[in-house]
Amino acid sequence: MLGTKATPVFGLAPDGVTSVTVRFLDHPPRTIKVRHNFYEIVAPSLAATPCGVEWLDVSGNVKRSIAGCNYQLAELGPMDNYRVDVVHELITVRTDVNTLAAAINAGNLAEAESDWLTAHLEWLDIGQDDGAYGAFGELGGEIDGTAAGLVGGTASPQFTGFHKIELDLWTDGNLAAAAADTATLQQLVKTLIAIPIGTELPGTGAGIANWVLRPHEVLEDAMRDTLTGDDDYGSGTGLASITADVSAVTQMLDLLAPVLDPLAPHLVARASGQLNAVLAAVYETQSNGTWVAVSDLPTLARERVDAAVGAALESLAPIPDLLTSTGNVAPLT
Amino acid sequence: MGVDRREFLSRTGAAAAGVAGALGAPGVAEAAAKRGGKHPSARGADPLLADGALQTAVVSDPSARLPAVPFHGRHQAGITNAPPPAACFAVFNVTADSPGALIGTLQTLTDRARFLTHGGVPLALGTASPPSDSGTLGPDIPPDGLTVTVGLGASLFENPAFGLADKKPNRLTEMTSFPNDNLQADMTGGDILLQICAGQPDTAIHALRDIAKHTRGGMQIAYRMDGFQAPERPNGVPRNHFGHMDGIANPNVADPYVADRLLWVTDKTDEPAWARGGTYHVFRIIRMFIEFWDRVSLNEQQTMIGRYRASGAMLGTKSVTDVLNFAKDPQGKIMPLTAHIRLSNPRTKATEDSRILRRGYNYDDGIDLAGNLNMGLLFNCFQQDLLRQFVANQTRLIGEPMVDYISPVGGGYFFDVPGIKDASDWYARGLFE
Repeated sequence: MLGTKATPVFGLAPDGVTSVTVRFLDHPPRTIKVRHNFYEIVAPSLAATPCGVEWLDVSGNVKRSIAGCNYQLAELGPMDNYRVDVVHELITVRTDVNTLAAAINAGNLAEAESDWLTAHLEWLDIGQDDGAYGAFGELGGEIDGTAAGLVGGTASPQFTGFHKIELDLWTDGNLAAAAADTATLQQLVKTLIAIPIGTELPGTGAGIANWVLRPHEVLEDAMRDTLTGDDDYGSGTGLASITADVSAVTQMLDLLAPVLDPLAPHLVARASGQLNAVLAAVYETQSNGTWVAVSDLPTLARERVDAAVGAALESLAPIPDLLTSTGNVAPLT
Repeated sequence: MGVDRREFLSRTGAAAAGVAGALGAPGVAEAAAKRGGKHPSARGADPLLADGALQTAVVSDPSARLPAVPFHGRHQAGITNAPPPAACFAVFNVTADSPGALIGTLQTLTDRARFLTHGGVPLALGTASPPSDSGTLGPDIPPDGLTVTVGLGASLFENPAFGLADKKPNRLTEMTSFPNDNLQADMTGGDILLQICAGQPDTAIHALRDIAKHTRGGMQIAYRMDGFQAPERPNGVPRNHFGHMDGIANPNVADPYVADRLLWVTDKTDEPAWARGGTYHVFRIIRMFIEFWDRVSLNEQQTMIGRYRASGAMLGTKSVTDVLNFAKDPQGKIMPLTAHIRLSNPRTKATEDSRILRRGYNYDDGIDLAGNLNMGLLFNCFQQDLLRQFVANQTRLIGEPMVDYISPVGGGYFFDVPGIKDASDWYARGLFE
């Protein structure tokens, strides 16, 4: 838990805790006194006034409150830029899905499969995946969710979106079903675009706190769902998905670098290098320019990808804590 | 090797002191070998042929062997008794194809469970047959706290070969998927659940092996998982793979008033008469994505669960037994409204009859395709009414923040049959009367 440059942040500790030890990424730990369950962290060598805070009693009633600065202010700028990008990317997704629909309606399976991949990668590039954490809520799940959790599995009418079309094309070779499912997807994307971006990605404290989780959660999703083969419904393009996921993470890292660099000078640079290593390992798995399904990879090639993604994840994990939460502060019990 | 041996010595203490001299010898021998010289003790016997000290088991507390748990009673064992350290869960599909064959299988199962939980010397079959017992527990089988708890799945009642459809407990169905589940067909459902618990893993596995041997032809294992209970770290309720104490708040079923309202099917419950004394058993294999979890801040972990990791105390309280008054925290400023423990047990009058008795075990089962550790929780809960209790609980938990870190991948709904009354009774006998 560290504020941005020159901005102190605060923490609350339970009764009886008189001091907390704060660890800094690039400075030695410091022990800080707790007064009235409240402590304040000022980045080493910086000083400023405290932020707004509420003191609660054990019943949850506010005993005292002070209005103050918004320590997330520095993150609002990058998030604004991200929102602009998302709006543009959604328009591209709409165009790509229309192209997919045209190929399916023309009865061209090979072209449909190629167009599906283009559209899906563009979607993943936004960095909201199936909406598991995302700003797009249930709509995100309908656009790119799997059949997991649906009664009836892939036969459920609630199974919609990219992965349903993937199943239609690759596994079932059913262009008629693909046409109907693509029409549904077109409608879902249209609905999503109609929602104001400020609703999906609100610039509130909670909205920003949610957004700064994404750099690591996009890749956590990839590790959990894609590198295990769980979200492959026949296309075998999971590794292509990883390239889009990396692109999404890189985009957010670039936007957040001005905020992160003063707090943790080497983090963005290190993570960027590790993300490049992921791409290198992923492209190495291609066979004559075509993608190999994760489950068909030779063991060593798969292990290289997993290792690279795992290493990047370990570097990305502190980002939300650095920017918003009370993590890395001990003891809180 | 030398270092390992020294650790072995320090851990085993006085018991190992007698062999210390023998263990010290290889070090001298190694040094001699490096110099290219002869073994200092090499007079007559060839040191390379001589055996080292016996590598005996390292047991933290050899007196920890558990006594027998009574097999006969109104209710089955393995439900209200404290869970011992080891467990083996095996779900069988019945291959017997007539009521008589099914009865035979259940009677055999009863005979074996009765013998194994009591312990003793296995039957000697003489030289004309392979031995009656695997011998993995030695010549005299210890009880070691063994319990064998039998649950029946909806599919068994619905199998037309047995004619049991009208005896099916009224709430029993196949386990259907909740929105955050990812149920795998090859580890979901099944006819008979055996929950085998014991003091040591080898005791539990020995029992499964014995039961499978004696019931061959009548039922076949569809899937199985082994589990363990962590020891106290440092005290109190065992921790799960998230590092949190799990199973802290269970209803007080030692009170018969509570047990008859939350746990057992009674004569006041709308269920077939044979089912009285039984209970609904939910068994769920819940994968926990521990790598992901380990990359989340302690604060987020604690607010997702609603307890401090170190002490197990509810947020805003000091001790593991303190209870926060949720009514005085209506906005969730101390305990988030989405915290796991607040959603599953809101502690209100309206939800008190949906409480469940949990009895979970950790599992650890290799890796997944991406090389992540395949670990999780073998969730077990027992209740009088499947819908009013487990299903209501799980419905409240849909979409909770923790769902990103866990994934229920299998298991099923079962009805744990009433207890075995006496030496002439057998599992589910009431079904056939």
